[in-house]
Amino acid sequence: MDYRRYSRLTIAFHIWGVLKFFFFAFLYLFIFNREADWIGYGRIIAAILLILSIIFVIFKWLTTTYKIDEVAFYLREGFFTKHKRTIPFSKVQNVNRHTTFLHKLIGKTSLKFETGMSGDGGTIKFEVLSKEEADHLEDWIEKSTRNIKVSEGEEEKVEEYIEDRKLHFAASKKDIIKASMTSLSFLLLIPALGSLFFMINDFINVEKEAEGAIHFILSAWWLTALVVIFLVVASTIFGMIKTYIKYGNYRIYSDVDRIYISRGVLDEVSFSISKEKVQAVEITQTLMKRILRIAEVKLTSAGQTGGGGGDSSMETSSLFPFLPQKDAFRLISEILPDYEVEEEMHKLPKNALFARLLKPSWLWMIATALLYYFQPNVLNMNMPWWLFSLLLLILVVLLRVLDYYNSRYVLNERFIQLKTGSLATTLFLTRRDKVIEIEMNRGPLEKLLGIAKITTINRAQPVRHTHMYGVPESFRLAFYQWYKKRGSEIEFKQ
Amino acid sequence: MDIDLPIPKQRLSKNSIKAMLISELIGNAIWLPILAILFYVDARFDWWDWVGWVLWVVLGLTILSMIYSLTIQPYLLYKNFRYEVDEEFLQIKQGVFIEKYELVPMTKIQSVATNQGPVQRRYQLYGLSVETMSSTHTIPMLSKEIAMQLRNTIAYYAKIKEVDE
Repeated sequence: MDYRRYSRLTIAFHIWGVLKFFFFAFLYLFIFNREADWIGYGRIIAAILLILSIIFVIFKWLTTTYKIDEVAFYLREGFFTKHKRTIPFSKVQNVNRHTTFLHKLIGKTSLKFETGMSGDGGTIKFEVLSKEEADHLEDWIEKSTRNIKVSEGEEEKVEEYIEDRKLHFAASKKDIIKASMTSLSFLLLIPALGSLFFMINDFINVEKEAEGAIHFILSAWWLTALVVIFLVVASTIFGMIKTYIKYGNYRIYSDVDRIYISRGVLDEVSFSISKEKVQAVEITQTLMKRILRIAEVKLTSAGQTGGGGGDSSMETSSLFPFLPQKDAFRLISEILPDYEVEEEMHKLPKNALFARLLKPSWLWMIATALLYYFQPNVLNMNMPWWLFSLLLLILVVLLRVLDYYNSRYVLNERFIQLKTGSLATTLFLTRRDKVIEIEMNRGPLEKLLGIAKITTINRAQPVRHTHMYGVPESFRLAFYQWYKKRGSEIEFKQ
Repeated sequence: MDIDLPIPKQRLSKNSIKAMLISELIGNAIWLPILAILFYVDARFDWWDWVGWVLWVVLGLTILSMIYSLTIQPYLLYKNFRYEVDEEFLQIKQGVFIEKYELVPMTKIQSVATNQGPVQRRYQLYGLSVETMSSTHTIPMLSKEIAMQLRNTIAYYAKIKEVDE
């Protein structure tokens, strides 16, 4: 295969992006603002910029070429300075497919291969290509990486491989409704309602000036009630539609080697990651989710460059964010068969609570100093400054106590599970061979109380440090010995 | 107690105490005149009141830290720094008040380098910095012989990589 250009449609997509960027500037310059003196220059400059951008897009397309062989991507780009890049398939951490509404209209899709390298050079992006091409490309890379493994003497693995994907989870209507409740979209109602009330109040006030105040309040009351009902219904429906568009068609599949997640109704996003490249699993629950017994399970990958796709690409590593709590553990052990989730975890010793309470809170100290200095009069309530300080102190203490009660830890053969958080909780689960470094700290206070802080460091973008404060010293030793044994399950390469 | 972590065997070079003292002396010798100039300028140009207060606080802190850093600190740093290198791990234990124990697999080390500042040169000492994906770990102040040997050992073991990278 020779070097070739990306699809011609890429130009169209980029020009569309440029037009979107210039849209408001042109609206301002050509429609709304016809009188100002400088408008002539503004229009000329904007027009020149637009034309230059379009020329740039075309040149970029002309000068960017790529080649794919059995082992790597080769990219050539640049007009004045030429860049050449080689990215071996083995470095690809995960694959993102994003089908926007625009892609859908013309029956195409976009494909992004993310590697663990940071910066722009880390991603290979095909902005427009047909579904068949995308499937073919994804297959090609997967097969090639598997071939490399075979040559290293793992021939059994290929025979094991069966071409079918197993469906693990599909979001039902009930899940979507629950999701729209949890995402708190209806809370936006309160400020909207407030401002609307004042607006209507003003309006009616002007009209019915002559009539009595009592009459006005009564009429405003039923009007307000009507508006409230309307708004509640409308915002609930709006929230549901929004959630449906984003999370509708949520599906999680897996086969022997990979996990596939896809979601979205208008914009389709799909994400796939090799099971071997999952660095850690995280189960997070916000306060709201804890009340509704819903959890989010996230797969940590080293390849989330986050560039380009913005937050949409970050979120896709999440196995449905609104999973029923009881399904979370089942799903993890189903899609990652060699991960074992231990449901019984240890609580921290009492001393960990003392240590948490004794540690100085810088936030509280600084806030108190500021309160003392400025003595603000919040909401004209004439509350003395120390009352705020006291309230803040109570809040800080409460959060620390909650954090103590929520903290859990356990070592389970090759796995470590750490759960932390005061209002929102996170359960972090990783395998010994995926931990790239560990750290153990203790100061004089911790020494006295016989506790310590342990930290695991994992690959992610950026590198992830997971702390557990207050484990007993015996566990610190166990943690150390556990990590020391990691050599036993690691394959080395030449 | 048997629940304590094993202590890594190797220490820094004995000369490091002297070297740390000297570099503290130099640091203070640079900082004190700057502080003196600030006091002078403050008095000469009638700066705001609070600047004077801040300067006095800074002076107080400087004197306290001088007393500590020119007496026992170098010794404590030396006493509390331990490291150990074997074919699987680099272990570093350090910290006078807050004890920090790090365990880095050899396979995760990306680069290793020696470096030498002017004071270190005077005592024939080398610092070793070991870079991993997450951070840089430094072993300051080793004798030349040990530093070179250690660098080569680490470089040799770090060449081995794990399959999934």
